[in-house]
Amino acid sequence: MTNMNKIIKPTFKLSVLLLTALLLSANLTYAASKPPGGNRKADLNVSLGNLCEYIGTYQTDSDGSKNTCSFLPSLALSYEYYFTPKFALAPQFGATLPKKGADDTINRMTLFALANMKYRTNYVNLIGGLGFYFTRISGPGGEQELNNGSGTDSFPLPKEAVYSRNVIVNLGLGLDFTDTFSGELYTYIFNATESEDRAFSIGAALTYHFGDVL
Amino acid sequence: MKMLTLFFIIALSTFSINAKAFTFNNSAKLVFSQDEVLVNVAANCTNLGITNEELLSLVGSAVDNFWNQSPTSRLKLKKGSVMNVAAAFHTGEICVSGTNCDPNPILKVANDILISCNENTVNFPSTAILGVTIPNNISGSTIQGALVLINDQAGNQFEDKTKNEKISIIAHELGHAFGLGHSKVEDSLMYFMTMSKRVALGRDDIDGISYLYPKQQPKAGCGTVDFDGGTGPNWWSGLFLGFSIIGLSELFRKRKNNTKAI
Repeated sequence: MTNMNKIIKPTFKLSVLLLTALLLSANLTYAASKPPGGNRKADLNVSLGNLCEYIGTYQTDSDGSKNTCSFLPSLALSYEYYFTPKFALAPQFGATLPKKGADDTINRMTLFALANMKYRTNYVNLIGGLGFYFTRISGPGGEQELNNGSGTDSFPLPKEAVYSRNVIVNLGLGLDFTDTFSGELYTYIFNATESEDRAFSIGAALTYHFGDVL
Repeated sequence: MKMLTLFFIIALSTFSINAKAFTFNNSAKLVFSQDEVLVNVAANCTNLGITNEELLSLVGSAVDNFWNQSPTSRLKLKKGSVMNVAAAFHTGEICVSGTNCDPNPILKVANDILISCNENTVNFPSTAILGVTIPNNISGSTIQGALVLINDQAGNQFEDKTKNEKISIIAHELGHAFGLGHSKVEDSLMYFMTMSKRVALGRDDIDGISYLYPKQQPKAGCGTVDFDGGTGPNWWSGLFLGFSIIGLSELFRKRKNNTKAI
């Protein structure tokens, strides 16, 4: 837990600083007082960002350090429908960039489908929702010669793709910069009801709003 | 606007990130069929310098601090109990002599995972070898029982390890017991060597256990809701959920507009 705090606290501080900077750099008279593009009832938008997966969950070196944030671009498409000027439903679909091993060993990518709700305050947008988070893992098959302690041995590599499926809780904050651009900070909570393997992924995204184009 | 969209797509398609590989301990991709596997301990180690309860406590830490921390795996290892076993578990060979390690039927574990001390010099030709593991009760591609042997010879190196190292050694062997082979990644628990500051799984370990035992949420109280998880993403349920919301939204919107028009 102490290690977790060591990792999460700086990340949280960084997030707060980033959000503060976004707030200061935005036009506060505009800020989130209306849906992007004025009084639109709906908005199709696309987000490009980075997702920091499972912060503080796995070890990254021989000193016992745990993972913080790594480069994992994500792309998402969302459609927001405003029931009132302040409240919207915003289903979202997205994926992270596939990761490929240096020697074509393991491929991994993630896909997500979220049912988000968005509430606009005078300054920021509050985002919350539930969804599915799929992790796809595949490999080339074959075998790998590895040390087994007393010599070497052949170990089989994975081949066909396997998907794990998690239900996640999404909590986030957003800020409208202009009619067409906004920024979001969010966290995906994995296994929210299970303390043992609960995990957090934190992301930031820049969103471009196409408006009511459908 | 089109240029911006194009930029997003091109930007995403030009990056590449390295990942590392986990392996299996058997070409048949053996796994336990159940989501919860007990880890029991055979009583009475001679040279490890720890009591049965202490060994069981190490097992508890090994499952809690390592394998049960994976967010994308459904497998849960549970600390079992101290069991009395036949003397052969402390002295016998884990494989049948003269074979490519066919499991010794005398040491067959009926179910779950059993950890036993063992001082057989064929199993442990060197005191530097800390443990050996084999799923030794297999039906098709399903593991029904697996055996972990800890080197209990006089002068074994397990005894001199720190508590955290002992925990990670046991966790490593448990990885073999439920189906993982070694990893070539040094910061992985399944790397063949121990590490003095091993405190958590590596990313490769999480990938490995998630590949063998992919989590399939949501689960109903009395059984799993089948959304085809584990073999492919549930695109249809996701799409259905999203477009249902959009459809309902549009329906409300049109009704509202019609009301205003009247």
